[in-house]
Amino acid sequence: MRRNCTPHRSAARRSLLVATTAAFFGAGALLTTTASATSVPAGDPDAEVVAGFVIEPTNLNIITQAGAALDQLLLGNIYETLVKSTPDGEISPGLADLEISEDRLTYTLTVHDGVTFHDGDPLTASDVVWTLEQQREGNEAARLSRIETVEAPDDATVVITLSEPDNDLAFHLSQRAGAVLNEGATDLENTADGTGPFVLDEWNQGSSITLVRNDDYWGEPASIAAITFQYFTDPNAAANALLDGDIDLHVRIDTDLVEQFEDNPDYVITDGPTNGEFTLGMNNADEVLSDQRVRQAITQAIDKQGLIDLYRGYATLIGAPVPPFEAWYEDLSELYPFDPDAARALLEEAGYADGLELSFVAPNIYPTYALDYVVSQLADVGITVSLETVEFATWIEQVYVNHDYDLTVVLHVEPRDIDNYANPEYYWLYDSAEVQDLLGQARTTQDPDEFVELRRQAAALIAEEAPAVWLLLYNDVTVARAGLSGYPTFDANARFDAYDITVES
Amino acid sequence: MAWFLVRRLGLLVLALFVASVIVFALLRLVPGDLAVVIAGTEVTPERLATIRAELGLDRPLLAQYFDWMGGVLTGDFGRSALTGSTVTSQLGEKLAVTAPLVISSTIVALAFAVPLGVYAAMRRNKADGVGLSAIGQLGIAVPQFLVAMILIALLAGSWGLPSQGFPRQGWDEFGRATRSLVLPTLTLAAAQGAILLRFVRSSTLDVLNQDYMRTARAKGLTRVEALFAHGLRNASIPVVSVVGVQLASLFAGIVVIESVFNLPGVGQMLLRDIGNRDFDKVQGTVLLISVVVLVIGFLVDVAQFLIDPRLRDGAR
Repeated sequence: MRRNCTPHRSAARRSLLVATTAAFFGAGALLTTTASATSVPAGDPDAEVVAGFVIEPTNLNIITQAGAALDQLLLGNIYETLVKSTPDGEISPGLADLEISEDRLTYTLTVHDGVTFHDGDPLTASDVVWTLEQQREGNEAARLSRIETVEAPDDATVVITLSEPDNDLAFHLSQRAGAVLNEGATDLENTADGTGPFVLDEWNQGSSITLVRNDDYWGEPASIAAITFQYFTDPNAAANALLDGDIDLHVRIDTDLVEQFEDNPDYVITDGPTNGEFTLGMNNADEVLSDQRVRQAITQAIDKQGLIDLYRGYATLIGAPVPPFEAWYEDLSELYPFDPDAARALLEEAGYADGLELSFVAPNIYPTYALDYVVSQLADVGITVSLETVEFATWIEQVYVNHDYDLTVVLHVEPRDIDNYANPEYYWLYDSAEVQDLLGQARTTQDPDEFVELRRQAAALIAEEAPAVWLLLYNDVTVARAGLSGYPTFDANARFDAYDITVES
Repeated sequence: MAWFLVRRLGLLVLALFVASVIVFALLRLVPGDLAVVIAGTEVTPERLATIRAELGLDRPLLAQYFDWMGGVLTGDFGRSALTGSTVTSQLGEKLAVTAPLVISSTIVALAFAVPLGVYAAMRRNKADGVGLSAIGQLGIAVPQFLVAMILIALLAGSWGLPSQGFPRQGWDEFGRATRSLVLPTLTLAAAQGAILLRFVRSSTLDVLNQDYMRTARAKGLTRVEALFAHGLRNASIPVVSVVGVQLASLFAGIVVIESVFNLPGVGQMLLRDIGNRDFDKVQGTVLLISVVVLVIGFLVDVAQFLIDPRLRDGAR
């Protein structure tokens, strides 16, 4: 079985930069780029790569439209970010060098020279200011909420002033919140004018989106001529497309269908942990579920390893909402081990010896076997669960906004989303003063080690209070035809930078 | 004839009005709206309110309905609230896949069902006639996605046909486009043909028992001659109705086939738009399809009117 496990593909892409350094945190650190002229690996410069995915963006507006499908398509390909980050949070320069003041309240960005947008406009500080202003009113509002002012004292400098320190801000500036658009850009739903190595070519709505190489790219141009994002609603059709040779690779292929590629020398399978915690959310404000014993019983009633086996092993066991590549990760999977007897005892202690009935509202985009598995495991300890699968839009309305549920399940793909557990209004309605305190301190502390330690403590406390069950961490399973290299293998479902892809000529 | 057309056209307009009300109302009953799709899991109540106001989702339903109908009456079926693309352009684009599929599968279905149905009727007591009839029943019973899987397994490899997809360049790549529609066409035609076969068989049987057929035989025609000279025209009346209804339901039921074969057609588009709560686009698209379906129904009625003299007499 060819199965290259590459969980942390270093983001030292484009072999150029890497002068990086300076820690992901370090106050006063100056991050600069040192461009070297190392050439990209030789490949077929005329190659047009077709990559298969599951979820198509609803529109291309990166300011207002939520969803990882959009980041996956646009970030790093069309739009570039102010800084870059590795999975474990190390920050390096992107479109700008970042300097953080001693008191951590002033972020000074020096925009690189010679960068141009696809329409030929040069990148200036006012593009950055304009974009950040848009982002602060759009989808990224919460992540940028500590920003007080954004100013451009000159054409190359942007100064961001914060109301209080925010240890995640630099990381967020490497994600969607740090994407830079051309000032005054309109029709963002259908067009995208960025500085990236690819230019938007054509969108066949409901089918595919094609990006072509930006030959005027400010760095080394990409080594392939085009990348097409082809979307599949039916997993069998996706697997057939791979077998037919219609697509060169497929990201997050259905684990049920991987087997046919496993012993085949014509294909390469990669997988590794993502940011996607598959989370069995509980309504912590519910009378029954507000009792920690009940939540703990639900946790111990579910054999997570059994579920991972259903995913044919393409998933990672976790015991807290932290992926293993984070600095504050610790293995908490044995805190509440699978133990149906313990679960029954806890339920009895909580006064539910005769059983318990709970509603379970789940979006219809996850494998039904996973949902059925949870239902049957809970039935085993005397919890009768009525499963209702709904469309995602219905889920947002019913569960996320109206909190009309007992149990639910959703894949939380956002990186560093542990702060959601500090928000008592988030849909789990989990209100733990101590957790809020720890995570609040972590976000503002001056000391990098303390930052990591506080988050570790918070994660441990969250795991103990069991506001949700982290069923498993999704692995990205990518199947590619042999001869293709350089494609993203870390969290490719959330971000698919096509820049480094090469095709054997 | 003129009176018949006027009456029938009036019915068409009324049906369209009712369809527009039903579509509009049903969509508003669906939980979740465009604002939650846009805001996703980053949503806050304030942001939801802002988006709803920007999109005009907070206006009274009656006002939204009349706005829409005002556009429709001037030929503007609306546009997607997510991308701004018009209903007509999008439907046109997707029909380039769906229409050929619907038409070709109907032709294939008819080409098999009519001769086989007549044959099955004429040999209703023989083993082959009964066998055909049973195969027809099976064709109706087997789910379409299963037919699709079987056809893919049997034919995709050996005939070198694509098992999924449609070329991104569309009909500019004519050969590839045609080949990619072969298996979907056969899948659709199987179920459609099976239903038609049974209708052709029973209406032929019905005709064979008529007095005028006995008279024709008495004049010295063979059974086959009598059937071709007098029977088939009569037998075709109910079949034409069924084809009309099937054409209409095909447009609605093509979702499964387009999904299994990953064809960017009307069914996939509607499914996606409903998931995205892009109601402006869905209602415009459904109304446009309704127009097509109702016009087909209208043409079928006219065809029957021309085939069947009894209807003409009744209409006078």
